[in-house]
Amino acid sequence: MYRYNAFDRDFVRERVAQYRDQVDRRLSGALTEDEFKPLRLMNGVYLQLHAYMLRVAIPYGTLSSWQLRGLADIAERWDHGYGHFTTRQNIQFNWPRLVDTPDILDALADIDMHAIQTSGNTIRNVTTDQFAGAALDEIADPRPYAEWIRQWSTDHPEFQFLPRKFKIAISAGAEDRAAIRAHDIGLRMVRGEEGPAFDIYVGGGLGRTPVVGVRVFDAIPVDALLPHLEAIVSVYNLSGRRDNKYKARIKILLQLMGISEFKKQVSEALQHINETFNGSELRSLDDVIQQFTVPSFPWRCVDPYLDAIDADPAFRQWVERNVTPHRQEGYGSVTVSLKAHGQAPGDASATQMRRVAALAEAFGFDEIRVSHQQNLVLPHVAQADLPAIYRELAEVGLATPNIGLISDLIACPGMDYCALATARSIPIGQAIANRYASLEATLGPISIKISGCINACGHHHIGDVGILGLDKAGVENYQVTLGGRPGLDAALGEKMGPGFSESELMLALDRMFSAYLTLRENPSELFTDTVRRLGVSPFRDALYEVARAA
Amino acid sequence: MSRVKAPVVVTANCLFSGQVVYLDAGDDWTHSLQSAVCFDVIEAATDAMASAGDEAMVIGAYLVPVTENAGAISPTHYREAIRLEGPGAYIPNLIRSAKLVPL
Repeated sequence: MYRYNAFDRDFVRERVAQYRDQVDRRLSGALTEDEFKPLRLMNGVYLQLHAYMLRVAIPYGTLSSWQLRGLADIAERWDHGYGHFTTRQNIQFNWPRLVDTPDILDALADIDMHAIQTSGNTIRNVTTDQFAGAALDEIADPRPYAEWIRQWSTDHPEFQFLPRKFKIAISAGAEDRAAIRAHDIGLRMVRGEEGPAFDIYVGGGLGRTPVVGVRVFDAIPVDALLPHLEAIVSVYNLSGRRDNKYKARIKILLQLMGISEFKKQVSEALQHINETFNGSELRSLDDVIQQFTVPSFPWRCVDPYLDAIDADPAFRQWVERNVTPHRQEGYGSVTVSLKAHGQAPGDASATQMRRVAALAEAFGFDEIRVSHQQNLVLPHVAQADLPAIYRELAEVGLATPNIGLISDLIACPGMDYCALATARSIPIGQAIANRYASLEATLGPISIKISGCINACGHHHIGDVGILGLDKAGVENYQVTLGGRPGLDAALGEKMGPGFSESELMLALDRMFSAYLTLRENPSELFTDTVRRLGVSPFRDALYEVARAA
Repeated sequence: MSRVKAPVVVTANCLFSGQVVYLDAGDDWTHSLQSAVCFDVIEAATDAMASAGDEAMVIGAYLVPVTENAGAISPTHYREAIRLEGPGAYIPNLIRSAKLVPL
């Protein structure tokens, strides 16, 4: 994985020193809050309901054991002993004191990390497939390209004050596991005529105006990728609306301009942008690629693993749900569930982080990933080591066998933390996870995604079941959408009707899932497939059955 | 602001820690809602907020509608109840209260 060079380290330390001075000036009264706020946001420091929040970038969700231990140390020393992994593969600390934030940023710099561009109208963390480099179906590891894009976009002089924030995701598998069509730019790696190439999707995004991104460019070769990205963002920077933040994302520009005019303007921009790329960027890509070496996977006897599968039903269940096939025979990718029933989705204690770091070091080639589903992943582990990994995860509450099931739900921080939220998300997620704990294996894979406001950080538009929390005359109210999905055939969920109170929501979900069990053709027909086959009507009827009868 | 109905208290976030604070009768900031001064007249609350909303101490002061019942003050909106109590089930309140930063 990528390690900082001297330039990176100097750059990050310099930013920390600048920020330390800014905090000092704020505390001394030399800066007003209006002057200070944009400066702290540029360093990832928000003010939430109860405290400041520091959002730390985890580039493309990749961490080493050393870095995860460093995050655990920060959680323990300066926060409340835990961190929250987000749907953008980042981590948030919810309780730092302002005066401590420069020291925290220094501690991050010690582990080659920072919080730059985790806020503001800039290009944010580039996200990717949590199984990158391990997946059976990928063309190539997308992370070197994500790192390359990170280097291009970090502190890019033209793109620090875009009309709005800008999110890029990249995926290289036959299956899109990075929700690329829900991003401002989604990159899908394909096989080009002369090596890897990229289909470029533009204009995706959730929020109050959800849009599925459309493919604007096909099979762009590697040497033309950065010029295309620069041209797309330049056109957006010049023409995106700045008078209304709700209409400022590139998805709105694309709708207003139309795809053909947008492509024309990008092509025109490319004519002069191409001159600014002289080939040195390709040499830096070569350097980056060298750092993403594939581990050598020694052969390991799988007999102990097979014996454990036979002897321990709980272990077998965990393997079936939480271990994904690996490109290397005899290996797998372990998804470490941060969704134990009743826990806040995505939260991990310092103890849990240290345990995962230790397991990655001992068994996982020192690699950890954060998934946008708010779990951790050990991408490369020998099947022979799975029994030991399972035991050690179970000791710290991290072996819940629920990946893909109802309790593996996504929830934004909601009004438990977020100053923008209109309702709570986490307690709804906890209630749902607990309610269906004994039934979820029967119900099979169902993605539930919960957002505590219309900004949709919980991705509710692209869940099998989306739940949006709103404030209805001073009472929390939850709208349900059905039929959303990420992936290359992404679709937005359809709003079912009036919202529910929390207690009504649970009863409505009971009826809907009960209807699914009746309506599915057989136990192997997934919820998403039954909804696609029958449409949402029977499920809407089930949701509102009581209300209609009344 | 014009839609806020009395009685109200003045709230903000502490500059130093970010934690929730309320204005008390001595024009100091306190973590305790029960120690907050309750205003029956919006204009008086606005004046107090203007004079006490010192940026050297707090951020983003605003008025919060409350009810008073037998001397106990309660927020009328769930957002302010959550601000008062802290996050839900997962984080025990004792953690939050144990880490409150002295003002």
